[in-house]
Amino acid sequence: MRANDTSSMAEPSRVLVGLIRLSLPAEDRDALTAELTALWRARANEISPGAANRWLARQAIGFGVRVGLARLIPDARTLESLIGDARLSLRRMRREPTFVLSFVLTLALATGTLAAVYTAANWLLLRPVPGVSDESNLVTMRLGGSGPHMPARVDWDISQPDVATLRERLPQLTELAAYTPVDVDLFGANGTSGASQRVAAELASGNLFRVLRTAMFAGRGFIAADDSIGAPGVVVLSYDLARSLSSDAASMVGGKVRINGRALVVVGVGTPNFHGAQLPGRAQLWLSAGALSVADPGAQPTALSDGGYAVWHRLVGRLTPNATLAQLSTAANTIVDQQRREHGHSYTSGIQVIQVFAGIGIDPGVRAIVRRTLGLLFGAAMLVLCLAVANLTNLAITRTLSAREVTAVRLALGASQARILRGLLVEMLMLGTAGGIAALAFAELWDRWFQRLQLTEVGGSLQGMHADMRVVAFSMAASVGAATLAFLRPALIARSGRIEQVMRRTRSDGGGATFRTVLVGVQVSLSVVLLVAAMLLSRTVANLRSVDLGFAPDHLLTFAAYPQPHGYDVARTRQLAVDVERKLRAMPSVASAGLVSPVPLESSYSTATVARIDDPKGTDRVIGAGYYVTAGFLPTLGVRVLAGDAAWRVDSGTAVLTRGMLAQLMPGVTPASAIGMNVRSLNGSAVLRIAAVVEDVKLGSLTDAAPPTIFRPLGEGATDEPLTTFMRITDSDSHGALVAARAMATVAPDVPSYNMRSVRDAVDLQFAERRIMATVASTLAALGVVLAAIGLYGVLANVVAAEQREIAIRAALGATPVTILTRVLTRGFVPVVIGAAVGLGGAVGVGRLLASQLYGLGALDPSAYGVGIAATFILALAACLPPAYRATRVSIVAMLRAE
Amino acid sequence: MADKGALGEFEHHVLLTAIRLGEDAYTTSILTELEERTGREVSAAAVYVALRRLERAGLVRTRLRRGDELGERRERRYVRVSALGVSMAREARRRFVSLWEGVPSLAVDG
Repeated sequence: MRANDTSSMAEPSRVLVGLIRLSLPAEDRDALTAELTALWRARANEISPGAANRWLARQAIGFGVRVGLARLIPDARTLESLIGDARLSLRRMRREPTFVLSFVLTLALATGTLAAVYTAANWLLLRPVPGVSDESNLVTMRLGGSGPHMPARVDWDISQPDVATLRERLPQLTELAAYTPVDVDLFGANGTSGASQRVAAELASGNLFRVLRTAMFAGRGFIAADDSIGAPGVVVLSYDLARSLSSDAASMVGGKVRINGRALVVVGVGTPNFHGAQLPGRAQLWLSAGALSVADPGAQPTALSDGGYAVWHRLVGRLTPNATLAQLSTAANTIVDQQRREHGHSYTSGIQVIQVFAGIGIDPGVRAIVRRTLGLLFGAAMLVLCLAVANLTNLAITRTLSAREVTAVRLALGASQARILRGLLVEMLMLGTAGGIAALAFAELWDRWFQRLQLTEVGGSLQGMHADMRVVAFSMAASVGAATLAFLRPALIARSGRIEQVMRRTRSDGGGATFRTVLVGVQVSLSVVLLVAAMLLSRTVANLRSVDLGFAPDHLLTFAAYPQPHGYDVARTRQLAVDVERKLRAMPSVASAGLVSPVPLESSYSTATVARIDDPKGTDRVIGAGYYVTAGFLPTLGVRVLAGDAAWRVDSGTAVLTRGMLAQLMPGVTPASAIGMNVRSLNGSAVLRIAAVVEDVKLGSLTDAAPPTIFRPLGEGATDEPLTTFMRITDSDSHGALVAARAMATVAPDVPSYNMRSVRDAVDLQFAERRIMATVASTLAALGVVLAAIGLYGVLANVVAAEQREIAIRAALGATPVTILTRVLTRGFVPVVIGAAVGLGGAVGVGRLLASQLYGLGALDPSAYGVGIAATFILALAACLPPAYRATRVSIVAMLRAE
Repeated sequence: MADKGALGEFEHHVLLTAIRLGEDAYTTSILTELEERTGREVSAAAVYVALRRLERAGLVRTRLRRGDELGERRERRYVRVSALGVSMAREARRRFVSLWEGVPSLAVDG
């Protein structure tokens, strides 16, 4: 009675009812779920709510499968027959858990890797930009270089008047908007101080949201009036940022936020997931054109009307229906040529052209690098999938052969070949689906690692990356496709099963052994390709990591701060730098500290032009790198001092030169004799006394030769750039961020610090794509060679099992264990040697493909090929030895007894 | 040669059960009746799909109306067997009876 009372109160699982509702057409949803709920109650009363829920779960699966299949296959008997085949396959699979597990796991490993690379490609290149409507006719434009040797990532900004001219005179565009990525310091909501954070922002023209057809979650986007001269700067927050500042995102509209020290009114909140026109979207807030002086403290109030002041970094337009990209490009550059002749403005150099790209999304400057990196990774993952398919084929052949007698009997009893093949097809679909689901779980593991990466030095971050429905569809299609390929050969074997053949030759392999040996050869060749590629890339990374920087990067941490937007002038900035340096030095875990500007450790650097004092016109000028530093900077780096004051006091009017700068500027002058001599800086025409000469140092590009460099005291220039602090710590770097935050909070609580990282990480970022390729290629190569070894083991184990009788007779006739071992090993190594030879040819091709990515070694580096071949042979030997050893243990007596 | 108009085994069961239940035939009543008669668990989805198919073939008609038990607001899709459905069931029975006539000893055992 009590049970009845309890169950009458209970309700069926909402999830299960929801699943059933999902399967049903709208007109039957309510009626049928009401019927099933009534039936559930009756069962819950009769038995128990738990049993009733289990019954409902079976019904939910039934509705999902049957209603879905009924839509695909209208014919009732075909459907029932397929369901029958599925049941039969399930029963068979339940009896063969090892086969199912091996098949699904192998499929999941390979497909999951491919799906993970696809997830990254989808994240950066393929998916639609979230929050943007109707991307089909959007175009991206930028001012880039026209020369063949111009790096893709180099581009220039365009002034507001020049954008206005393009907007007016380009009939190919219905609209043209502009934006500029910029990082800003954001303080809490409503202008309160509180915790500050560095956030990615975009300065945006009034029509950006309209051109992107972006809806707003609350408030408004920017409007044309926000672009007018003198309009107050206003802010649009991303939904995520608004939520982090207030539990009610919409309530932020009308309030104020403090950005770079200035309070600005929030006019709108974007929709969830909208983070700008680029992929991956970074922007957390948008500043109107009126907030230009907030984003760029150096901008004059008239900057927006000044044709010589470059403001906009990217242009986004919508093409008219009949216009083409080529027409747009031609028209835009005609305007640029005309403008250049008339007044110059944004187009100061003859190499500058307007570049037009279809669509929006990833920055055009890194698109090619990201495509190449992901393309190579996709290729490697495809090779692993081919290896896996070979193994799956082996597994499926073995299983088909073992079930051949049953198949032959079924054929003899009248089952049609089509029926047998359909059974295999259903089985393949089920295994493929299971593999696809497991692959998604495996891809998730890869993705967790990928998320920490940035594919290039300047963009292509995979942070926040996740799979979407495209990835799920891709994974399922790849898995089912791979399973189909693996079942092709077994299907042919099953079809050919004749009862008389089976009765006559109980151990026939239907040609499977030869086919499988060929497959092993293919696997070995693919493994060699992967191994050699992995070796070439790994050695490249090792070479890059051992490049002599002129200083020791270990135990060095850096962080950045940008005082100027917070009202710091030259004098205050210099004082701040001195105070930070002193504060850090006083901390027990910091051995030394120093500051530098502009930002070092990037592959580009700010140039400095220096001439001899007796060369006032600068005829023999040297153009190199220039940095403004505090006294502690060079000692913190640990740069070797060749001559002069090791503890350089950074007096005004002094400089430190590197050996390269001295050699180019004053050939023949030794470092010791250069001390006290004067040079002339052509950046501001200052006369500088040489205080010290230090060894060459690479603070810019890792792969280029160290540039001639001059160090000058901080405060004599570059104070409108962020300051980068270097600190050498005594123990682990785990407390680095804390130490930096404490020092900055004491010295300048209003200036946030950001970009805390080790110098090693900062340097490594310069070859991010090669590091990622090396790691992924090495993992895939390891996976590939193990798959090949498993394939080889499987084939040889089958051969030994099939030839047990022959081996036993040989042993009885006097063959020694060594002879038998050698014979089996030779048999195993034939496909390995042939595969390795073919693989070497492929590896040479892949090496050539990778040539532009290699550093410090050639595409035909013998050690990479040697290690690749040696690793293949060692693993092949390891795979061949167990079956070969088993062959030596075969005894004629044991065999006869068994028979 | 396969007879395209012939009923599948399960569809045949569903059609017969719908005839048996008469005015009271709907998806779950057919399911319960089938389970009681056959002694096996029957999938509600299988009954649902079979009814949709029988309806498309013109062998049954369905109509949403309020049931006596559920009364209040909920509706059920009630099933009524069409004249074509009845004649198909009759034809199926005739075939079976004619087949059984050839095996008298088994018929007695049964």
